[in-house]
Amino acid sequence: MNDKVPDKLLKIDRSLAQKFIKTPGQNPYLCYQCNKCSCGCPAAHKMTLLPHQIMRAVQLGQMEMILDNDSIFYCSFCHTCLERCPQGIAVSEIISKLKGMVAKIKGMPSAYKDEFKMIAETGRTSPLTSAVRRRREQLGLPSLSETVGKGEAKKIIKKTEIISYIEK
Amino acid sequence: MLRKEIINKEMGNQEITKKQENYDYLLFLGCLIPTSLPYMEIAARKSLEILNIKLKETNDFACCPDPVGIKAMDEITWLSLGARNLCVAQKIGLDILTLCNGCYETLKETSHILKEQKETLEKVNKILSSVNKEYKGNIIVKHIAEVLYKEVGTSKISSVVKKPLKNLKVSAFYGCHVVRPSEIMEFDDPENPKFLDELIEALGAESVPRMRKMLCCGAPLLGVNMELSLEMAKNNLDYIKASGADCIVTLCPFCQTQFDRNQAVIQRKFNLDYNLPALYYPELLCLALGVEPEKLGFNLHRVKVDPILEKIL
Repeated sequence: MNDKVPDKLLKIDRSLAQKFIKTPGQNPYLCYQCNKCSCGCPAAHKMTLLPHQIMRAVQLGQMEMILDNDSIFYCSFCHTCLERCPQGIAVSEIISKLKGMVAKIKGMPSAYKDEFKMIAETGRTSPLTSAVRRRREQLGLPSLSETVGKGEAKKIIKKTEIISYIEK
Repeated sequence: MLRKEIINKEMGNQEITKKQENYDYLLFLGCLIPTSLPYMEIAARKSLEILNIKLKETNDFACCPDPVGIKAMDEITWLSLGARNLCVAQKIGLDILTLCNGCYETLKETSHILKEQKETLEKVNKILSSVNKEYKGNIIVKHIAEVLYKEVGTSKISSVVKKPLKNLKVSAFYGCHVVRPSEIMEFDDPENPKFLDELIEALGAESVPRMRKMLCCGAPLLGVNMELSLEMAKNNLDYIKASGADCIVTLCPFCQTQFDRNQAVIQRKFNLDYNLPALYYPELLCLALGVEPEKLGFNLHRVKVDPILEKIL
């Protein structure tokens, strides 16, 4: 009879929860698994790890569980869970931070990489094409400059640690 | 009561940013509206002009940035880019008016966090020093709907309506980030807000109730999970159609993209036929204020607005 329990399930690693605990409204240990976040979540039917299960995984420090699963990237950040949590936990904010942690391990989704690159290059996330310029002129709207923000967004992005993950 | 007095009352003893007498707000256009959805910009400008809200403009604003992707990837980068925009307003000496729920959430939340968390403010200012900026934490950020509802007010709006939108049934689509997280946005109830319904009724139209009023439009997922994003928009379109509304009224370019630009995609994908025009609230406002439809760029809508215009004009 195989009664050996995998080691990783026995170990409770508190270091993951510690990453949230200091931020107001993000203490994962307050979660008592009422399931309200998962019931209200508009993406729950696509998730294999539901919001309340993600909360449990954070409490137990099971980062691997979160990494093995793309459920967090189904979150549209609508904050329904945050509003409904009887314990006042900002579940959506915790999931958002987990997205960042996963992206730093598994790589950033290309859509977000492109967003960073566009902001660094032009200051905007959507392109100012010649067609857009023409249309604005026809509509009598003021003309827009090619780049906005004096290139300062690029300097800021380069100054933060995210730059190494964008270039990866 | 004068606008300034109202602000004084609301803000208590807080310092008022407004220093320029000739202007009310600094306009924050964002990325999506001026490039992809210029008809939203026209309507916002025209309606605010008629209601005598004076806007100053600047080229110094960059992307807000996005409160979903950029924030998730790195919160300190998100805060720093947001704070840079707040610094621009600080230098000009005006509070910010946004046209988009996303910009509203990012800038308002950034301003809130940097006011509450001194340590974070220090961190952000250290990064901002590379572009010779320092945020002092006193900029107020408002959404166009907030200015219309709280400062102009529905009674003033209905008193200046020239063409009441009688017989028009409207489905109010708030979008998530205009009210959530409610502790920070402090605008209206996060599950059952009323302000947009009241703003619509102020124009003489009927705001019809529907199931799951605050269900997310799905737009933040467009780049990462197209299928789920469209499914969420479809669910909303189902509820809106079932409510018997003639059109959808939005407050945000992302919701607008889902319901106008992507409606045909959804119709094809699910083999359905909605034919529900989507309008930005200021467009509806402009029509009620008597602006000629030809001046509003309605031809840029993907879902034809003509049936609505025929109904009200």
